[in-house]
Amino acid sequence: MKKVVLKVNNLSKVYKERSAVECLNFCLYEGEIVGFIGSNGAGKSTTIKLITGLIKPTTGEVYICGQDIKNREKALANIGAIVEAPHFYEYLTAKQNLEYFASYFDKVDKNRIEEMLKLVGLFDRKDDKVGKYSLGMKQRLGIAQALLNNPKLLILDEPTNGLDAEGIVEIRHFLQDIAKKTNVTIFISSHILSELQNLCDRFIIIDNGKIKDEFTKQTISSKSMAINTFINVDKPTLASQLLKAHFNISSKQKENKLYFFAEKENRAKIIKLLTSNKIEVYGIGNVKVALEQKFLSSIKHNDKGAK
Amino acid sequence: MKFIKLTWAEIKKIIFRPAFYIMVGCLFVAIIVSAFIFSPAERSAYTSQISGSSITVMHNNFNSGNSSIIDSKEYLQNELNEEFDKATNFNNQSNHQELVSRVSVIFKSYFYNLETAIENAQYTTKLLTDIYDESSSLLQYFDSIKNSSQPVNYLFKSKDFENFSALLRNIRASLPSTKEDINNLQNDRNALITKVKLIWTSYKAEVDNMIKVCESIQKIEFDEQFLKDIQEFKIYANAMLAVQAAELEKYYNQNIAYDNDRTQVLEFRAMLNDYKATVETSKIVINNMINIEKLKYKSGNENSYLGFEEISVYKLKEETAFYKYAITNRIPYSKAMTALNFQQNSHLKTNCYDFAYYLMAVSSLMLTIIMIYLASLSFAGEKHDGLMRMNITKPCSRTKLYFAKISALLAISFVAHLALGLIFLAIGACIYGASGATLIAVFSGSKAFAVAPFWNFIYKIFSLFIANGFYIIIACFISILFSNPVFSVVISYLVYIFALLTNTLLAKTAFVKFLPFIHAEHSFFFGGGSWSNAFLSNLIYSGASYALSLCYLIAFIAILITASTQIFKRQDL
Repeated sequence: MKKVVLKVNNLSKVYKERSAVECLNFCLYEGEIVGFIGSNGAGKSTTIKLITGLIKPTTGEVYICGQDIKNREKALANIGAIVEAPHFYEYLTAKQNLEYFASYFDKVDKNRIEEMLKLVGLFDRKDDKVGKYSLGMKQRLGIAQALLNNPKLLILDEPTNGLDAEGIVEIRHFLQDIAKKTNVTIFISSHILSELQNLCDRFIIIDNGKIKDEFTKQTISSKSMAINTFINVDKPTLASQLLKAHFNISSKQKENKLYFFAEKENRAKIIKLLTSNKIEVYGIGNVKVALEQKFLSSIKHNDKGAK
Repeated sequence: MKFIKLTWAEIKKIIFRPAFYIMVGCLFVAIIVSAFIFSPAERSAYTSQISGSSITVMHNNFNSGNSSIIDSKEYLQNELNEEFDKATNFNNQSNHQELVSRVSVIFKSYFYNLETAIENAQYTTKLLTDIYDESSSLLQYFDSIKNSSQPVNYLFKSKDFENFSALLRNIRASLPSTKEDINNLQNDRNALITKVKLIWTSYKAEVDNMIKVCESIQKIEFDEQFLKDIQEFKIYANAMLAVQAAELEKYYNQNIAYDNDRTQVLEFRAMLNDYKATVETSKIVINNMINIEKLKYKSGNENSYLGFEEISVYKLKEETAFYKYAITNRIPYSKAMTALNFQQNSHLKTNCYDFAYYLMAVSSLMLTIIMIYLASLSFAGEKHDGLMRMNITKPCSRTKLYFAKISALLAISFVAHLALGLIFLAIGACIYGASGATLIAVFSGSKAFAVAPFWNFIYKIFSLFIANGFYIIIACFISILFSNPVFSVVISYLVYIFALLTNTLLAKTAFVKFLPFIHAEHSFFFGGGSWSNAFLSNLIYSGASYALSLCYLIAFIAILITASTQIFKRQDL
C-alpha cells in the first residue's frame, strides 16, 4: 500500500457569504502525479493556498505527510510549491535567489543549490539577474526553489501559464524527468488538459468549489471512453464502412476526417486496407481529447445531478 | 540558528536592492555637502558671562596694602551667605508667616466696616474714608508681596493676587471715591445708603469667595532633608570659594604683582572669573532649590499628571544638579561650562565630537528616511510582487519571518549608525583633533555625573538608533496593513513628518508627552552634556521621567509588534 503524502479532510473556505471551496476530501499518494482540473474560479488556487497554508480554512484539516498544516514548520518542510506564478527578487541572480530561499531550511547547502540549478538547466545562467530571465526560465527556477528541500510533495499551480508551446513541452518533460528521478508526488493544477493527460497518473476535477470526479489515466484511456485517432481521406463514407466491416470500429465523420478509437498496432493495417481499396490517405494522427471529454462530462453529469 | 540564518539572508537581500544603493549614494552626498558647510567658528569666550574683574583694581588693592587683592571678596561671600540664611530661615520668616490670617482678618474687617456703614448711616463719611484707606494699604501690601525678592513661604497663586486686586479695585471704583462725592451724597442719606447697599449686594458672593480663598491658603514648610541639603551645599560652596581665593592670592603674588605678562594676566583674569562664577552659580543653586521645593508643593496640589513633572521643575532640577555637581566636586565654572554646553558655548575650540555630532544629525535623518522606505517595502512590497507567497509556503512560522525581517532592518540601521558615527569621529579627529575634556552630564534632570566624551558619543549613537528602530517598527506595522507598497511608503513618511512636526512645533504643549514619538528621543534626558545641540535642537522635552518615558516607549513598541504579528499571522495571502 502506497504511503499517503497529502490528506485533505472536509476542507472548506467561506469568504463572507461566498463559499470558495466546500467539503473537499482527497488523498495523494507517494510517487504519483495528480492533475487538479477545474475551470477558472472553480476553486483550484484556493485549494492550493489552503494546502500550502497561505490562507486559513474555515473548516477541515490538511495533513502533509501526517503533519497537520496548523503545525506549519513541520508540515511545510515536506512540500515545495509554486502558487499562481513563480516570483523572484529580480535584482538578485538565480543563485542568490536560491540561496535566499535555502535559508528557510536547515539542511540545504550550496551543493544542493548547484544540483538544483543543474537539474533545471540553469547552471550556466546562475549568475544572471532573474530580471533578465524568460518566463520559461523563471518557471524552471521556480521548480528548482520548490525542490530545494527535497520535498515529498511538489505543488504546482498552473506551471505552464504564459508559456509558449515549446515551453510547455519543456516543462512537461522536465516534470516527468523529476518524477522518475526523485519519486516526488506532484500535484499540478492546469487548464491545458492535453498536457495533463500526457503527464498525470490521476485526475481530480473540481467545479464550483466541490470535487466532481476523481479518476485514473487508465479510465480515460479505455476503449469505451476514448477516441484516439483521426484519419484524413478523400472518401470518408467508404472508409467508415471499411473500418466497421474489417475492424469493427465505429467512427465519426467530420468533413473528410474520420474520428475513432484504434489500437496503435492496428493503425498500419487500417492504412493498408484503405489504400488497397483506392482511398487516398492524406494523414493520420492522435486525438487527445479524452480528458477534455471526461472533464466536460463530469461537470455536466454533476450539473444534471444537481438539477 | 535558523532564525539567524534567515535574518542574515534578509540582510543580504536588502543590501543588494538597487534602491538601497541609490539611497546610500544620496546619504553620502548629503554628508559630504554638510561636511563642507560645517563651520568651525570660534566660540565666544566664557569670560564674557562674568563681568567686573579688573586687574587695575587688584593692583590698587595690592599697592594700598589691603589684606586681599580681591576688593569684593568679603562682599561676595556675604552676599552668598545671605542667600543661604534666607533658605535656612525660610520656615521661620516672620514677615510672611502670618499672611494667611492677616489677609483674612483685614479682608473681613474691611467688609465688616462696610456693613456697619450701611447699618449706621450717620458714620458713613468717616467709615468710607477709612475703608478707602484700608483697601489702599491692602492693595499695596499685595503688590509688595507679589514683587518681593524674598522667598515667600506660602502657597498663594498669582491668579489669586490678580483676583483680590481686581475685586478691591472694582469695589473702590463703585464706591464714592472722593470726599466731595461723599459730601454730596451725605446731603441725601437715603440715596447714600441705597447706593452702598446695592454695591454690597452685588459683590457679597465674590467677597465671601475671596475670604474662603484666604482661609484656604497653605503655608509652605521645607522639610529637614531640604535644610540639611542647604547646609551641606553651603559647606561645599564656602570651601570652594576659600580654595579659589587662596589660589588667586598665590597666583597674584607669584605672577602678577610685579610683572604684567599678558598670558599670565589673562590666566589670572580667568581664575578671578571662576571665583565670581562660584558665587553666582551657588546663588542660582540656592534659589533653584527653594523654587523646586515650592513648585513640587504646588505640583502636588494643583498640577499633577500621572508621573509627569512640570517642565519648569525639570529644567530647574537639571540646572541645579549641574552646578551643584560642579561646586561639590570643585570644578571651576570655566571647565564646567565646557561640559554644560559642549558645542555652542564652550570656550574650547571645535573638536572631533562637534564634527561627528553635526554629521550624525544629518546621517540620522537620512538613515531614518532610508530605513522607513525599506521597512515599508519589506511586507507590502513583497505582498504586491507575490514574493510573500513564495516565502510563506516555506517551513517557517510567520512570526519568525516577521522578526527576521525586523531584525535585519534593525541590524542594518545599527551597523550604519555605528559605522558612520565612528567614521565621522575619525575624520573629525584628523581635521580638528580630539578633546580630552570630561563632560558633566545630568541624567533625567537630577543625577549629575562626569562622563568621558567618547561614552557620551556612544550613547548618542544608541539614542539615534533607538529612535530609528522605533520608526522602522512603525513602518513595518503600516507595511503589514497594506498590500500596495506606494500607500505603505507614503503613509509611513506621513507618520514620520507628523512625528517631526509634533516633536518640534508642539514640543512645549502638555499633550505631546502622551504621543509616543517624543519618547523615542531619549537624548533629551541628558542635559548638561552635548545633547542640547542634537539635530532639531529646538526640541524641549516636557519633562517625563526617563524610566516612565522608556516604559511608555517599550509598551508602545510591544503593542505595535504584537499587533503586527497577530495581523500578519491572520492575513490571507
